[in-house]
Amino acid sequence: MNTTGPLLQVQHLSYRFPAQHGVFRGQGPGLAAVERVSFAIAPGQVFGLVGESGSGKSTLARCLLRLLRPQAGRVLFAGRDLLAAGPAELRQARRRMQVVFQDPMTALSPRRTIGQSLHEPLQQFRLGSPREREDRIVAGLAEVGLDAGVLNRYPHQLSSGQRQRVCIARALLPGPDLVVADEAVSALDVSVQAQVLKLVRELQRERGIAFLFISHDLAVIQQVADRVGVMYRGQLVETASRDDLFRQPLHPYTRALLAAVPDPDPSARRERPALPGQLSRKPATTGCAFESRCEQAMAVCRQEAPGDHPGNGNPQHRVKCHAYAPTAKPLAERRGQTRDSE
Amino acid sequence: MSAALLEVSELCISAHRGPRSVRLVDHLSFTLPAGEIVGLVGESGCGKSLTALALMGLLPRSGSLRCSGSIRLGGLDLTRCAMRDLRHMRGRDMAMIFQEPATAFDPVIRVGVQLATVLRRLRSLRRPAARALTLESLAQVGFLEPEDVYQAFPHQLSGGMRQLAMIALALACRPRLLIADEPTTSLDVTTQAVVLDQLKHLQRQTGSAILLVSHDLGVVAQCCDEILVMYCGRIVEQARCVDLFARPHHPYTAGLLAATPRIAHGEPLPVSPIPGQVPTSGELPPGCHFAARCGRASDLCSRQAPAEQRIHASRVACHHPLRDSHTP
Repeated sequence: MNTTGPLLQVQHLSYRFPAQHGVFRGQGPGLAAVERVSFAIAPGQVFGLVGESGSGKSTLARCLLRLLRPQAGRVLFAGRDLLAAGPAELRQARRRMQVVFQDPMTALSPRRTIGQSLHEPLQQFRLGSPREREDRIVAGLAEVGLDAGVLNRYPHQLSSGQRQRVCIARALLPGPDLVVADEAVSALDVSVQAQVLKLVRELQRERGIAFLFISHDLAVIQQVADRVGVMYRGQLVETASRDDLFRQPLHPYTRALLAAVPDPDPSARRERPALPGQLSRKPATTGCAFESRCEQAMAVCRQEAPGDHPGNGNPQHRVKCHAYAPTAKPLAERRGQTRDSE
Repeated sequence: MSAALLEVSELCISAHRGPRSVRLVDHLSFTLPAGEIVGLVGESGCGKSLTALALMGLLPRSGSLRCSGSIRLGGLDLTRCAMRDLRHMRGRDMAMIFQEPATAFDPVIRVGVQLATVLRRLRSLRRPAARALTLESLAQVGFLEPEDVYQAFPHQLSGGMRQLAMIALALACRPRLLIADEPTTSLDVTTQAVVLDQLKHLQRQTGSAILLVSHDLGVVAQCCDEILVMYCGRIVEQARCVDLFARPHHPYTAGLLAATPRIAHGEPLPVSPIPGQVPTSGELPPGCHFAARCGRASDLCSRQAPAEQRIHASRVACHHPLRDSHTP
């Protein structure tokens, strides 16, 4: 493996769901769920992907794992193009990229004991002799904080936190370099959620496992991620290091999202909701996807889709917004100007 | 504090199967003053929703669930009311907003027609008047095109819009008590902000008391005047909202606050998990249910359930509560 390059590189990835119904089934443009998304994950890095429901987070994850086949773009995993990979190569790659889903109850077979479920990946990838497998499974359970007593139990006999740990243990058994965690802590109660977040950090630090950590919860993302990508309507609108993003969010959508998270502190109450435009069923314009809800929208926002611009001269901070184009007027000059009337 | 609108005392709900029984809600007592928003928080399975259903009289009266204690709404004991009377009261005196607004609507009838039908029945309005009132309250909760929403079928609206339509109905019915059971849990944060805002607006405008059931400390911190914290079927702490977040007295409340991630503008704030897990309702330990996960627990805690005590304005059920000197 090339240790200096990124572990996972996604270039201009697009996925459209084909039209499902009616006479135009399979024809026409369908629904664009992921549009020209590019980002990279370094070995041992936790990349947090945040966005509201329907923004394309899970579709993106499924494309990376090639559970869905994107129509355009490239996915390079350790330098190899997954979209061009044959079945054998894909199988090899999948051993090294595992996945943890949101609901462990549906991810584990209700008819199998935890032990049987944990044997599966080792059998599938022909890892170790049967006796070694037993040892690896017990060691894997210990790593996520469970003891061997759960091996003969069924999923319904465990608590939701324990089940999610089992899913994480199962994902770790084949020895992956990358784990895609799709809303892996969203169904957990806060007291247990904090335990799983701590586990993710430990795995990343001690075993150098990279994560694509998907969540709708910005506070959770801040706890685990090194780098953060913000998705809106299928596009990655802002990518930055965690500290840059939370210290200085640049995209108007990221700012609105941050402002909308309710703070568990009654002395910091907000009176007005941050973002207009929820309550209209009008479709978006051809320009920027966020234009209709953006308080700083300019005339150009309605006509042209924005490109990826470095934010505040920082090449590691990418913002998909006209306000940060090199030719744009500084923000200060535009403040006070009202939006064009509808 | 104004006069109590709702008085719940010694409410117990237990599930029975043959000779075995499991207590799901355990001697719950609290009052809800008129015109306040009270938050009921706790983790999943602690009995929040059961309590909410019991208050609405929606628990089956026969079958495996048994309910005891009293629930007084404006002096009338709901547990002794006939089903007919309860039906008459629902909507007028008390109303409920559920977590999933998609299942609260009939999928084949237009949203506006459903709302207007309720208004015609509850407020004895004629068709045109009910329609006008529906449109008016849809506009009040912030819909820019109320006519458009009126004509839409439930699936044509987003989750947030459906929840707001529910709030519009509550606004038009003006119940004295509104129970909102996780009203924003299935919504995105930006939509959640709008819905919570409208809920507060509704409370100010109608003077209804609202019981806001939620697992999200951020949500209750932003909305509530008073907060009840539940753990394994019991209220472990009741306090004014500001006090609870500034000075939690019960170790569980303190643990919950420490485990909740908060957004920081820069380096993340540390979170610390509560060790162990919530015991299942069939295997509740004797004594304090939180003892096994509690850093302050003593022998006494595992033997004897703590009685409620007052610390300043808060009520705390703990043998070793955190006093002010222990502010985390």
